[in-house]
Amino acid sequence: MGKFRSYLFLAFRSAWNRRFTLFLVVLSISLSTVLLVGIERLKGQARAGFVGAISGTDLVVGARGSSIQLILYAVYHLGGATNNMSWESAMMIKNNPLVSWTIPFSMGDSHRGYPVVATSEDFFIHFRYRSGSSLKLRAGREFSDIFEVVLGSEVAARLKYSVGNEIVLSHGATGTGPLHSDKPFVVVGILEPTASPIDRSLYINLESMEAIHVDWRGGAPIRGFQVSAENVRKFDLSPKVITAMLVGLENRRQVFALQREIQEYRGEALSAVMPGVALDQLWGLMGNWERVLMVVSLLVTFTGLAGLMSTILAGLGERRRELAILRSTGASPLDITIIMSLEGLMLTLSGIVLGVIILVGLILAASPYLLNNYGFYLSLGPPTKMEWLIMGGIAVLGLLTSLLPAIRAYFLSLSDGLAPTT
Amino acid sequence: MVDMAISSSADDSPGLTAQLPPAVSLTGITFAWPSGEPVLDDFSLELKACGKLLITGASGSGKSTLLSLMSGILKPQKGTVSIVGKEISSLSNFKRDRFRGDNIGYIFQQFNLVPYLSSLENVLIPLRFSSLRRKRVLQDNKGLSERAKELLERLSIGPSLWHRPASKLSVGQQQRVAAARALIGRPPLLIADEPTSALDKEIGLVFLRLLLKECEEASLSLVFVSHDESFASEFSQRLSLRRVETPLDS
Repeated sequence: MGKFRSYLFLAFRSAWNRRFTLFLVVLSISLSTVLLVGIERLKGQARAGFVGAISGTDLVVGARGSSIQLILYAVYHLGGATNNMSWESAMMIKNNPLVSWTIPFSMGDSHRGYPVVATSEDFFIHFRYRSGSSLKLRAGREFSDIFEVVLGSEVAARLKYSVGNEIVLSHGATGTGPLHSDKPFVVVGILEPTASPIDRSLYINLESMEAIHVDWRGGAPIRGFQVSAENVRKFDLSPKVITAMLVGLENRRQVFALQREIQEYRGEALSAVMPGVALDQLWGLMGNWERVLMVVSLLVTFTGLAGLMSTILAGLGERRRELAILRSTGASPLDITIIMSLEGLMLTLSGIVLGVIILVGLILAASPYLLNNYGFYLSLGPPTKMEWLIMGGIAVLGLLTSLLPAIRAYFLSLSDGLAPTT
Repeated sequence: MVDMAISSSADDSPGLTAQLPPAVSLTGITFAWPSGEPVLDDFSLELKACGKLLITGASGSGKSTLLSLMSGILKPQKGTVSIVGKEISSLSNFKRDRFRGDNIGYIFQQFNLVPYLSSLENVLIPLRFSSLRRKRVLQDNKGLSERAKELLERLSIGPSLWHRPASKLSVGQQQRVAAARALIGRPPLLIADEPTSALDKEIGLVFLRLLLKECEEASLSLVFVSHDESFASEFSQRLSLRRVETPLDS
């Protein structure tokens, strides 16, 4: 019968006796936990996901324009198309002595809502995501000819495609444009899941992109001019323009030198963007919203704690008899105070635990949806340091909040003495 | 102004217990409420170890005040209060709480039990707060709940009631559970504040006799407050308080 165990026993049994009233308090604290920890997790994982999707890339190059827009479009396939850059410029950058590798991207078509990305074999060789992982094929092989397509894992799973299937691309990024039905593609490979936008994309080579647009001008088929899939090989299919290019350097420290060189290139107006810098700008834009969310969830937390305090205070009147009984059986006013604070702490901790359980449920329920619709990978996994800090903060605030009713109980039990009041 | 007239009749039987310090010793107590209303003036009282004291008097006659002084809830303006040889009027609040938990068992008129705990859990509560009472049980070579069950059984609370929440017991059963709780760990002094007034007369008498027997058995002293004078024959020492109007009042 240790002292602390006795405190816990009495605090728990008393709280359990009032569990229906106290459940609401626990629920409101769990709501605070869900909001505060959930927002932190979303923020942390959104950032980690964004950064991870482009780890290893030193510069993103495209036609001059907004750097955030370029990054979003080139790396995450979000937002509208920017201008294109010429193949000559791309070759010039590729041959720059500072450059180790490049990955060209050409975009604009889609398949049933999923973006189609034209690239080169370098994509499979050089692309790195999340701390250096390279792309792997789950089935089949890389593309090696026109009209061959490699699918991201999500595309294959959702549309139930396997190697050997024939698919038709549609013009435009929205998925509602006219179909390139005269030039079907064969699925030759399916990528392993990467939990990045790659899972939601289809990859073809740059020549294929030229081939399906040989008989198109200005976003529509040329009237009375049709080139069959067989005859298209007679045309020059070498790429003329691309949308963007990922660049890896021989030496990362020379990134500023190369960036300046590209920005000052006279042949064409180009942007060279360091992903980290652009993402920082993006966080800056979202910072206001994060702050609004944080303020709202802090308010919810304070409301929850105020509820905790008022519920315990309100219950104190009815519990005076109970406290007097404990006093008459040998509890000192200090014992009463400790029992009351423990009750508050237990309620807060249960609220936090319930909140974490709700959050885990929400993540499990929402993460397939987020991944499918936004390419955003929300994972479970142990709490981060910041998340522990938030939960610890709620617990400390809960304990502090319950000190007030506990101190009031101290003085009540001093003045009430031992005799149970009727 | 209100004052008290106190008449006491002692019927001491000398014996082995005479060597022990008196259970209660009040010497020259003067107590008045902060409003200035005096309750006790140079009042003295001694209850020998293992003595049985009955305090009677109408409500408002100062019985509760006297009990509060004995248990150290109230401090006298003058005089000393000693319980089992320890002067408690000079102890710090903290030490007085400790001393009370170790040495005094209480039974009140009603609402003695924590309603959501079982009878057994209720009986064990004092052992949670007083390591001395815990030690005394263990010295008797008894397990804590073994001793609690034994006491309950002796007070006619059978095993079927041990795990019943206190709120589901009859008033008489509740009082007997409260008595078991006051007795556990052999506190040298038992204070019973009108424990029978919520009971039928006969049940009350049965309760009193059970309590006296247990006190006898464990060599405990008992201070028993009642407004029922008919219990007087059961006690070795009696004190009757009554409220007196002084000429100033009229």
